[in-house]
Amino acid sequence: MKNNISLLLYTIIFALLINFNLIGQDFKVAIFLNDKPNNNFDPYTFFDQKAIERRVKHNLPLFDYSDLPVNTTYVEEISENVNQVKAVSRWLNAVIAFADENQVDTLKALHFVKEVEVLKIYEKAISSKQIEIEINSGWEKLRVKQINRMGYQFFKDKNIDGSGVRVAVFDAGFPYVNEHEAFQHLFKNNKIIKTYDFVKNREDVYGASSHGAMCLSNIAGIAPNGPLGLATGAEFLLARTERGLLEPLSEEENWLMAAEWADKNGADIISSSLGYTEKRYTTDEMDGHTSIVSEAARFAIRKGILVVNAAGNEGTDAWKYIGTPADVDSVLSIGGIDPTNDYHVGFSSFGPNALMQLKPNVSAYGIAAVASKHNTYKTISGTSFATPLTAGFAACVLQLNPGYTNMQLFKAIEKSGHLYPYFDYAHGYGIPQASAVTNNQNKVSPTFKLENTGEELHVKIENFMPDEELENKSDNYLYYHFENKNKVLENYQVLKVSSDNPISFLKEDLKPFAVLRIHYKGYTLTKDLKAIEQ
Amino acid sequence: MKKLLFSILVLSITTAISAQEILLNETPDDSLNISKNIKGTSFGTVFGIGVPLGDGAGPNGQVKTWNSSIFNFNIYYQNRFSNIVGYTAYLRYTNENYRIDQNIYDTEKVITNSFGVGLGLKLFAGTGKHYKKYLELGGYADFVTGSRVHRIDESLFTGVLNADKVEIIQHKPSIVNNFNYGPLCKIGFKNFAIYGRYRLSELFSPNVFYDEFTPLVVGINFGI
Repeated sequence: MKNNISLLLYTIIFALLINFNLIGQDFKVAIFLNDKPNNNFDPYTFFDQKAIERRVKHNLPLFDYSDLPVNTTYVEEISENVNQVKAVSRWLNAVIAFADENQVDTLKALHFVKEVEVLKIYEKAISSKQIEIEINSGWEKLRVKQINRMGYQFFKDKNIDGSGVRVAVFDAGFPYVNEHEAFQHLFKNNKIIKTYDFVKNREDVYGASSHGAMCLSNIAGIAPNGPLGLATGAEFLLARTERGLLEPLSEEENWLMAAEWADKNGADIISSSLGYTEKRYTTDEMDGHTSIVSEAARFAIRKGILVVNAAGNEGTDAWKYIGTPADVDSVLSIGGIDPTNDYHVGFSSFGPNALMQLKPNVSAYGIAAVASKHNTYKTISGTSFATPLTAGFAACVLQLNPGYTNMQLFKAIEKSGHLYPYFDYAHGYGIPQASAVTNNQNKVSPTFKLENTGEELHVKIENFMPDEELENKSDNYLYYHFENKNKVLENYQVLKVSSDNPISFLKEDLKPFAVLRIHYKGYTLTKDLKAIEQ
Repeated sequence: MKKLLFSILVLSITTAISAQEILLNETPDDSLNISKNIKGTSFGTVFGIGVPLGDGAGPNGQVKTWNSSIFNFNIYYQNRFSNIVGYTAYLRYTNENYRIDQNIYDTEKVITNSFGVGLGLKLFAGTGKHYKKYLELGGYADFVTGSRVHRIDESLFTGVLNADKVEIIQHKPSIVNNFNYGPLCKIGFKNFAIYGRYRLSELFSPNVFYDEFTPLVVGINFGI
């Protein structure tokens, strides 16, 4: 026994020497509970009226087991046996807390505890990083472009500005929102419904990182000459979920807490310009089922909320792929478009997710004009800013079609993409177009044809016009991809067309693929390659 | 093969579209291979606690399994070069404490300290969050830097020393060989692993009073 004690001492001494910073900390544990007894639950007092309406619209029961609050007696008993309770989740029926090893053993012995899971403590937490390209001149031109590219005029003509739609914005802080001229209409019209800082556990969110303020401006900000986003009439729930600095894992728990809070307070849409990638996960884990935040996003979607999330800015990094929760199949993941050339901006993370499902789903400008501190405006880049532009678009579509469920809204936005039905893993279905969300879409006439000439397939452009004769040079982009029999893209390209016969395919080369899809000037041709005579 | 196919395909297409400018060309599979290796290399520390298991080579080589202990501390470098295969290289410190099963003294134990290296081929199982399930097959080589023999008994030097019990510690005895080596196997899950190692070398120098102790050690590794 003496030997074993010595052994333990050796271990502790070595651990302290080598990893004293980690050993010194408590474990972060998720304590899952067996049940939720004695809950006299009244959904009408617990939920905001809009949360009730959302459930009714989605044919959901007014509440289910996951909506019941965690038993307070259980939480009290747990709090007596841990060093700190960090979060309480009704969806997971779990308490997240800091506890030492002895306390973990005590917790496991509690009769109402189902499981205690020790959560990983990460050295670094990296959210979707923000690449700042500050160009203080020219923001006004970009402001006009970023909303017009999505069909601002169409919404304006119909007096659509997101009114009646409640958007929850999750970010790292909202400083100057309560002071900046771009947001004054929100306060004047009582459009900020609720705020909560899940990092500091207080209501004041008007501090910390300006990232959230800039994102909010791309949904609802109004600059002196016009709006920065499309949903200037929407209502908002502002949640600070991210510290903005390095910290262990808690942002994901905060995201979960904020999602439950947004559900309770009647959010129709969650706009989240946050994401988690390397240092925490591998790309294999970007499957929409592994991370805590993906679990939270899937719960929110099951409650009828549309979750709009940034794809990430790792396109030029070794990681390259989308982060989580953009990896969840039913999260509307947003890629970035370069406004100077109207196709994929280099840093925007690529899809698909680890299950080879389409990601990003759609894209918006990844370089955008935003409201900045001291009542100024600036240009900034990141899929963080494409996300609120799309969330604003979603709010407008929902106002236009109030009967849409969250997944109908999701599909409608995908279908409104300027490339639809063409897609790829850089652009998704392209930039959502307001004019395309109405039911009376005009059918696009063929802009090219595919000529079968023995050994080759030739793309022949109808009425080809060179760049010099075009007002919008991005009209001359030809997109094409090869899809395999599992409906997964094997290769995709974007070409700048400079002749009426921009590309020819050798049939022999097409043998490995099932489908060739080509898009040019709004027209998409889908060719079943198995049906082509060799 | 797929990459080769795409190279040929892209080459042929590029010939056909030489007049056009390629703005974007992505082959997702290629990128996946790159990103899967993002977790390819890592450094870390692993602690191990184990016990010698089994019989020694003779009556003077029996040890008390549960009173003995093998502690080791490793700094490792891991390179996971594919989704399922990788290798790990270790720098090791090992403390071995063998309590000898005998009737002469109250306590008799042999303690060694050694530094060494290890190398293991790792086979990972599963994907996603279970990627840390693995089987590791490899070996170790340790250089003994210190050893001592403890003997504790009340009968030692009876009448000479005025003490109830006397402990004699014989430092750096020449009875222990300087070099140990053998195969090592681990089955890991997340931050824990069950390990077994088998000493192929002889622990003791020739003509030593002790018979060889059991060469098998089993225990638990845990990473921090």
